[in-house]
Amino acid sequence: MRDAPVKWSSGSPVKPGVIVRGMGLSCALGIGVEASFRRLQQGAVAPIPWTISTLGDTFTAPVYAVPGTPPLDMPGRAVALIEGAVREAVDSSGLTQSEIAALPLFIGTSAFSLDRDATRVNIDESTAAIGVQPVIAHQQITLIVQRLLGNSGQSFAFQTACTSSANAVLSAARMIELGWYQHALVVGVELANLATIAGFSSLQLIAAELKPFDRNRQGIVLGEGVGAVLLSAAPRNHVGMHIRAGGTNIDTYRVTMSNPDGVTIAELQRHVLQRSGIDASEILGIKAHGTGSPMNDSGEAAVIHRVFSTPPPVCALKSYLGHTLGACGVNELVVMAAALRAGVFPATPGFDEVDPELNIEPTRESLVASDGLYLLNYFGFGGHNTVMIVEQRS
Amino acid sequence: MTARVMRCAAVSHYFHRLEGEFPSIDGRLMAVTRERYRRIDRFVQLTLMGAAECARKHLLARDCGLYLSSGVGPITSNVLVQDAIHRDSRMPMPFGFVNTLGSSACYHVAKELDLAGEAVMVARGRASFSAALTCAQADLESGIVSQVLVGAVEECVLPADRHRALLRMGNEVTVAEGTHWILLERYEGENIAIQESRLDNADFDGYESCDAARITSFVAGHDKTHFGIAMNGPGSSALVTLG
Repeated sequence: MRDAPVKWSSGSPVKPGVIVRGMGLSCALGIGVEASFRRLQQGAVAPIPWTISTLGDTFTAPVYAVPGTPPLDMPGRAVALIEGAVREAVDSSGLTQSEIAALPLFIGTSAFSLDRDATRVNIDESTAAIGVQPVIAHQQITLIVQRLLGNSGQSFAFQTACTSSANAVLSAARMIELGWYQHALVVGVELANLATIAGFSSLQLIAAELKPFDRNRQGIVLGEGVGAVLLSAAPRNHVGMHIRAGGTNIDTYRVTMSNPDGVTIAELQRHVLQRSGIDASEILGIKAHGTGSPMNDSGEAAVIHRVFSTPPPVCALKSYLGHTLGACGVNELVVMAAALRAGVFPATPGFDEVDPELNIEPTRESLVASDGLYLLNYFGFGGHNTVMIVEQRS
Repeated sequence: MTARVMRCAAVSHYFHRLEGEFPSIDGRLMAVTRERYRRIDRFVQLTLMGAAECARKHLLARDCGLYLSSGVGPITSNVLVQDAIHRDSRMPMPFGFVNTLGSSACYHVAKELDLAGEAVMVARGRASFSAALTCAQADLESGIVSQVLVGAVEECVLPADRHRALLRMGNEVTVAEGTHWILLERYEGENIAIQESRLDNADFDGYESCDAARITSFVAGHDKTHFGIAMNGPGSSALVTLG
């Protein structure tokens, strides 16, 4: 059920702004938004080694895991992480229980089916009795959130690889702008599991260390995390973080990567900027996708040089969080919102040496962040590219 | 009253009840695609075939939005990866792992049809197609796209007993695969009342096992300014309409 059209002072429906009204986060930086931000200010986070001996040769993969939580394969762990982030977002929003019960829910995750032994989301057999299929991840996640909140709103589960939850944010914001909803809850979920580690290992994409844009970057390091944002319609001059614009397109260069020449993503960025009436020179900073993989960073650097004659400061957050895949859209949005609220543009741990072929030097130290517009990049398998422009207002 | 509504430009359908082997769809796929595809799984085959059949007689805008929906997704590829890891104690095949991402199917459709616009995969259990339609409608109304290709694709694991066991279905349930697509365009014109149409569901007994593939037909209004989707199965036999 959609909400009644939003009406502002003129009495006629107008396009509202969309603000981040509540946030929640469980990630390698910590549990809770403020705890995570405080930890970010202390510098890089170390991934934990996960040794796998059941798939032929024994190998160890680093994983940015949520600290202070039960072992990765502990039953119920995933449910607790999801519930924690969602509860924090909802509690910080100040919505009433009736508003919470009616929230439309937008899920973003790269997983369609769950690793049956590691994530343990599907341990609750009672879900089968109410028609939820135990191997389908998005149904399980939706059920966990709806049960926690007593919620019966519409749900949308986005599965566009590493852009999943970024696209969930944009879709939710779009429906709020249209006046279909006044509020929406967006949740990004990605949990450490054997299938993901094995899959990326089979693709030979995992590195020992995450070094975004660095000359010696070798690949990605996976992370886990659950992020949640509660979006609301609000006047455009409202204090806080606004979702100002965004878009997605698809690049058919390779199924596992976008064109390294950056043309397709640059086209998307220009299109989003033009559509929203924003000039590239107004962008104060870029939160890069910055996976640390040789080709991703090469392509992203090419995009930045194509779109910005003088690039603004660039940061990458995956050396704090790991690559949280389908959840990185919300997780990195939450981290940026917390940082910009505190007037901080984050440093990029792991970056040491400029790659002359990229000619990008991300932040070595955190910078003072002003109110204004920031660009957030997200790219994924399947050629999915997503950009989001946010505005911080104090 | 003049309103901005959607015009149904084209539809395509395929469904098949399964018990033994998958029926070959190679010929039907080759008839509508330019490339000869290898190493794609059944889910991608179904997606490509349906989307290409729907679009074949129409000029698609390069920024045509692509909205793929599925309740179960690429379940066979997921089962193969799980079997490799947990039953056979070996690493999954690299492209087998990539195929577990249902959105990889969007890539193949975009490549085949030269699309470069919005492309998402959306799910909502047994109402996944409705979720995709809602997203498509939002993008059309926002003016982000002027044309959308929306599909519902479901595949099965064979043998059918395994599919039923994975999805906790009774032994009496007939499983099926399907791919159903609709091409919608923005249209400025008179908003005409929806005409309900219903199809004979007799041929689709048991098809509800396939969730979003329960869609039995798209029904366009006489002037194509509106459309409906007939669905089969408990709880959703009503016509879904937009306009």
